[in-house]
Parts: sequence; C-alpha cells; structure tokens
Amino acid sequence: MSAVHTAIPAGAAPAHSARRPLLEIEGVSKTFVRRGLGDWWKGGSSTRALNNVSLDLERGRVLGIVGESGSGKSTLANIILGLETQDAGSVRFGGQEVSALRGAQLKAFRRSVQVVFQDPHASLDPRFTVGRSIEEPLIIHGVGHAEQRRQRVRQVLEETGLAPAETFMARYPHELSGGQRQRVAIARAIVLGPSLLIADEPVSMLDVSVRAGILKLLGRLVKSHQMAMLFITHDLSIIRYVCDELAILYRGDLLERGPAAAVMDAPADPYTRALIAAVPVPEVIPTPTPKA
Amino acid sequence: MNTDRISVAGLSVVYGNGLHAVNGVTFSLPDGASLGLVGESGCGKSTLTLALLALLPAKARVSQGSIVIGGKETVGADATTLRRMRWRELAWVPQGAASALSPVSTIFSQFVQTWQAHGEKDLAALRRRAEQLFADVELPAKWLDAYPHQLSGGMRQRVIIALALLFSPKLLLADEPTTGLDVIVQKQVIETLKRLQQTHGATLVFVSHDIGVVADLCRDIAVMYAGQIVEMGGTAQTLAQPLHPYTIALRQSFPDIRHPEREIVSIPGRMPALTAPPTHCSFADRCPFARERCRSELPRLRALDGRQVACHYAEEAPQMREQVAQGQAWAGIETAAAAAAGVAAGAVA
Repeated sequence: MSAVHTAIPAGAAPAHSARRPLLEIEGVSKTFVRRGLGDWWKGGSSTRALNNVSLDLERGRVLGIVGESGSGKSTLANIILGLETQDAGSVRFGGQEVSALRGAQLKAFRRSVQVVFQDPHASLDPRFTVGRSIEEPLIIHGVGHAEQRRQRVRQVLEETGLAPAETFMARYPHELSGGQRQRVAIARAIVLGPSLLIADEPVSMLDVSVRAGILKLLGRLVKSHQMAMLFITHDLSIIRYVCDELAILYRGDLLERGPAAAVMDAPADPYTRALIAAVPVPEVIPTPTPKA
Repeated sequence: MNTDRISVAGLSVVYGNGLHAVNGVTFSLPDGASLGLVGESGCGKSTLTLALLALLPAKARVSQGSIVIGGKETVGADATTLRRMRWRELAWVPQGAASALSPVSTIFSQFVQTWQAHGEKDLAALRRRAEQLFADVELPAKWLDAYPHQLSGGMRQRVIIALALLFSPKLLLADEPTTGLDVIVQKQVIETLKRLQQTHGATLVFVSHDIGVVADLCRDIAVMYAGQIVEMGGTAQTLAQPLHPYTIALRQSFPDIRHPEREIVSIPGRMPALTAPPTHCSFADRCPFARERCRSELPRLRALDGRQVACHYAEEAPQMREQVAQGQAWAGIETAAAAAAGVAAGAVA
C-alpha cells in the first residue's frame, strides 16, 4: 500500500502451516512455591495456578478467558508472553515453543505479541506525550526512521479513533479521558503490527458509558488486521460483544470451552452457571412471592 | 417537624481550586429506605458521600445548603457533636476493604479500638456483640482473631460491614463496597447487605457506578451527572423507563447478559469541567436531543411520572428511549460535538 507499510511490515509472519492455529497451548501446568521467612523450614507452601490447560487460537478470532481472581488467567497470559515458564506442557506460537525462543527469535516474538493492560492510567508514562508513547515500541525494535515512525504513529492514532492525530500526538496522558487513554494504549499495542493481542481486562477500569466504544474498536482491529486476541475478563456480560470463543478457568482448571454463544446459552459446568447467574443486570427482577 | 432519617437541601461543595464538585443536591430519605447513588467517575458522588459524612478534605467546603441527619444539622456542626453522631447515627462502609483495615492488628483489636473510642469499656460485651455481627455477615467467629491478610477480599468486606454496624447506626453510607470483588463474591456481599438492611432496619445510601448492583439492592435510585442529581425515583421504574437522556444512555451502555442482541452504546464526549456552578444543562453538549433552551437555562429537578427529573424535555422521553435503543441517537452528535467543542472536549470518549 503506502511506503510506510512496506517499511514497517506486520509482525514476523509465523513460518508454519496455515492449517495450524497461531497459538497452541497443550497441557500447561504451573505451580508457584512460596517460601516466606516463616516457611523455609517447612518447605514453603505451594499454589497450583494452572492445571493441564489446553487451548488454541487462530488469526482473526477472539478467545475470552473468564475467571475470578486466583483462577490462573493472568498466569496463563504471562506464560504465553514468555514472562513465566510452565512446569509442564507446551505453548507454541507460530509453531515455535515460546519458552525455547532466544535472541533474534525472541525479539521477533515480542514484536508479534502485544498487550493491552487493564489500567490506562498506570500503563502510560505520564512524562511522555501520546506520540512518544506510541513511538516507543518502534524505536525499541528499530523500525523505520523518524519521519516514517511519526507517520505510522499518526496512522494508528486515526485507526484507534483519536483524530486529528496531530493534536493527540502532542498531548500528555493526564489531558485525556480514561477511554481516550485506553485508545492510546491500544494504538501502542498495534503499532508494530502484532499477530496476537492479549487484552487483560481492557474495559474494567473504564466508565460504563465508554466501554462499548473500546470493545467495538478491539473487535474491528482484530478483523481488519486478522490478529488473534486473547480477551481476559471476569465480566461475562461483555463476552458476547467481542468474543468468538470462551474458556472458563476456575482455580487453575479449564472447566469449559466452546463457542461464546453456546457456553453462555447452555453452560455445561455448574460453576459457569453460577458465574452467569451472579452477573448484575440493569433491571429490577421482581422477587417471587414466597409460598404461604 | 422532620421525620426523615436524612434530609439534604440545596447542597453544594466547592474545592479550593474552584472545582464545583456538587451543585444543589436535594433529597431526603425516611427510615428504612435504600437509595442507590449512581454516576460515573468525576460526577461528584464521592464528594457528596464525604459531605454527608462530614469528612470533606480541608480544601473542600460546603458552600451552600444543609444536611440534616436524625433531626440534627451537620453542616457547620462542631467536632464533639459529629463525634457523638458517628457510628451511632451514621456509619460508613468505605471502598477498598483491603486498605480500610489495619494490617498490623487483629480484627478483634480493631473492634476494640472502635469500641473504646466511643467510650465503651466492657470487652466481654464487645466480644459477644462482635460475634453476633460476624454471624450476621456470615463469618465464623474464629476470624475475629485473625489478621486482615489472612482473609479473602470478600471476607474483608464483610468485616468492614460488621464493624460499621457495631453501634447499630441508623444510617449506613456504603461507597462502592463491592467494586473490585469477583461477581460471585459481589453477589454474596449484596445479599448480606440486603438481609442486614431488613433485619437491622438501617437506612442505606449505596454509592456505585454499577446500575446493575443498585437494581439488585436499592428501592430508589438517584443518577448524578456533573455534580447534580439529574434523575431520582423508584429503581424499577427509573431503569425500565428512564426519563433523563443521560439515564437513558447510561442504561443503554450497560450490557445486559440476558439480552446479548441489544446494542450497547458509548456516550461521545466527556463531562464538562466543573469550574463554575452550572448555568445551563450540563449534559447538553453530549445530548443528541439538546435544543437552544438546554444551552441557556438550567433545568431544575421537577416531578414527573412520580419521579424527579432535571430535563426541560423529559416529556419526550419515550421517543428518546426509542431512538437510543435503535442505536441511532448518537450517530450525528459524535461529529457534531467534535466540530463544536474541538478536540478539547474529546472527539471520542
């Protein structure tokens, strides 16, 4: 398309058969051993964060990972990102084992997998302008020269609904609303053209009146860039607006997995049913009159 | 003769930096009532809560209005009067149960501190009282001797609720007590509050950004926007047929797990900076139904359909609801607002 596009190709194209999913998680387990000062003599206590979890994800698809705090969803994300190493099982991205990546391959992997964090107040450097924050990944990965990078920053700003880009580039995070800040975080996540986006509770810190816009934006980006997205949340009410598939985690176990609509309409596991039943609805449900 | 548990009239709060956080809030609640105070970040609900508790920070002051709790005026009341009222007339369930408890002393010793601060000495009586309150919030009494870090977030929130009920307060102010809790735990805490409100008969003011939680817990709802109450009434009716365009939009932006086919909306733009008391409708810049009058005249809360609403055109609410539900209402304003207010107002939220 444009010169910028040729200068900045989408993230390292996985060199594997198109029939295989982009992300393959097989039998992953992780146990954390805690050795506090008082624990050293009794060998510490252990927490099983993930237990034999298998999942896969293709380009252009969104997989929702749902679970309460302590369910292991963040550990799973950290393992996929290569920030933690699993005790057992394998995580393959583009056919390559993530924990075995080193050097240039690891750098290419980091370019292909990007994260959108929960809190856009904490995930942006308050001393950086919006333009600088978004340019940072391009600088780190040595992409293009200054003018090409600026052009790419303008492009992603407009793509994330922050127009006119020129005005937003010069502003600081504190001048933006929560929704706008999260758009900046998303722009930064897509600037390198990743093939996998991990969105960790991307709307839970935002006001409800701006959530729809962020969810629609993420959905649109996934389709237009044919990215895969792992959407981590505890809020089942937004699942249908963004996820194709759904996986329910509970204390490290994968309880249930399937098309989002199927899981929501006919949850097979009692825990999933309890989770769905506990979601508040914006309407007063008449209390059934107790039988006399 | 004032029989209301709490009666707030024309309350305004101004910060030292000129921020008019609360503007002319008026409401009253009889004994045993439950009011959900909802609004988004920056709408003034936390400032209002602090004002009701007479705990405003030094840089903020009540510039106008009155707060009468249990027949006593608290605006301008001296420290002794307020101290006597606290925990008996009104108690607070703060947000963030993790930080509301001291990490270095056991839970029971925090009960002891509160007990003694209010001039009580009988520790055996306190132990019985604390065990009873733990039973009320469905916590085993053994946790009284635990440290906060040994408890889960939901359990800590129950401890805070039990502690708030120590002197059987007649008015309970809960500030987002379930925010940050998992849905299942949140549901349990709400059920606990519901039951306690019935058994203890306290009047409840429940502050939340979550209209779903308020729908579950509160008989009445007050919607705040830019420091004002813009709509107030029975929760069931208000959420089923909101009258104010902001409530309509808020309702439509809240996903309903039972109706995934329903479109959810984003409200373009952002709340105005509250640097001066409002002279016209604060929502006008973001409202697709705003007209000339909305930009020149401040709408006051007025009675309509057994509720109160601050919108000049609330009679047209059925048509507004229809348009918002179809997802058409904001299509035009997104660009219009951007053009009118420039980027400063935020082209997109």
